[in-house]
Amino acid sequence: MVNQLIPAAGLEPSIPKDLTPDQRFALWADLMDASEQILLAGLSKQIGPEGNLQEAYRKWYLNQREEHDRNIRHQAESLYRRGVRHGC
Amino acid sequence: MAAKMVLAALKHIWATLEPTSCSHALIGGLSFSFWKHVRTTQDVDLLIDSGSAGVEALLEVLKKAGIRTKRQPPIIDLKSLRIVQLLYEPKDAFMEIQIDLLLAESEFHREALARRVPAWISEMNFEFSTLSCEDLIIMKMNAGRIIDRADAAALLRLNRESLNLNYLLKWVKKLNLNSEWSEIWNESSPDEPLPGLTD
Repeated sequence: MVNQLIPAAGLEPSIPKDLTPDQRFALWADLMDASEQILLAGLSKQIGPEGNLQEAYRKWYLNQREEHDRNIRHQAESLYRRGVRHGC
Repeated sequence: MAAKMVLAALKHIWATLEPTSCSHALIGGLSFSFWKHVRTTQDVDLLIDSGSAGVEALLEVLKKAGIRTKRQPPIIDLKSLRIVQLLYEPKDAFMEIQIDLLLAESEFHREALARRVPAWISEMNFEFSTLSCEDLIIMKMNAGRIIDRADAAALLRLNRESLNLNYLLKWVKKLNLNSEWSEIWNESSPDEPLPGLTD
């Protein structure tokens, strides 16, 4: 039973199959830059015309880092439950 | 800007680590692009073997290159693995990029690092190594959040023809990832029987 973690085959975003690694990283950079523009638009709206956008972006990134740190801890705990120990 | 900052941080730490004897490989979201799964990521994660010189010597090298540790003491012991979190501010950036080093000190991490594959971005004249797709899938199945399982399923679907299923299944079994494996297989190949996991 498919529970839609990812789009069904054939319905995923259309990234050409035969892209070179270079082209894939270029696509990643485009995606990052486009996402950043949308993020900045959202942050701008949130802080208003008098707000400091660079500071808002910095705060957003700090929150992202905290989320990332929580995820690493979660991964380590999961590995521990599966019997993995460092040094073994 | 975001992409430039992340790539600048990756290039800088790679250039800093190259002269050392440490084996290292890119992991995490950035490495997925090499394996045809393109998604955003804001940091750099490496799996690394600090070699005979040890982590302290490595940190000295990094410090001289302007890469500072995020925490004190710098090595965080998470029982299943030890990590070092670093911060680096690329030139012309207005903030620091986080770089996480996962120390390859368990059987799985050591084997994953030994199986790393060469990668490159020729436009930047930049060569590096990344974990194999099988090992990234295993790490994502272990991570277990919905987004991680979706990443694992996407990597599986996009690279299935070239995957070493025997290797993948060995770690599925060893790490008891059977239900995660079943889920991502059914997501990526709903019409095909689940391979392996017998006995």
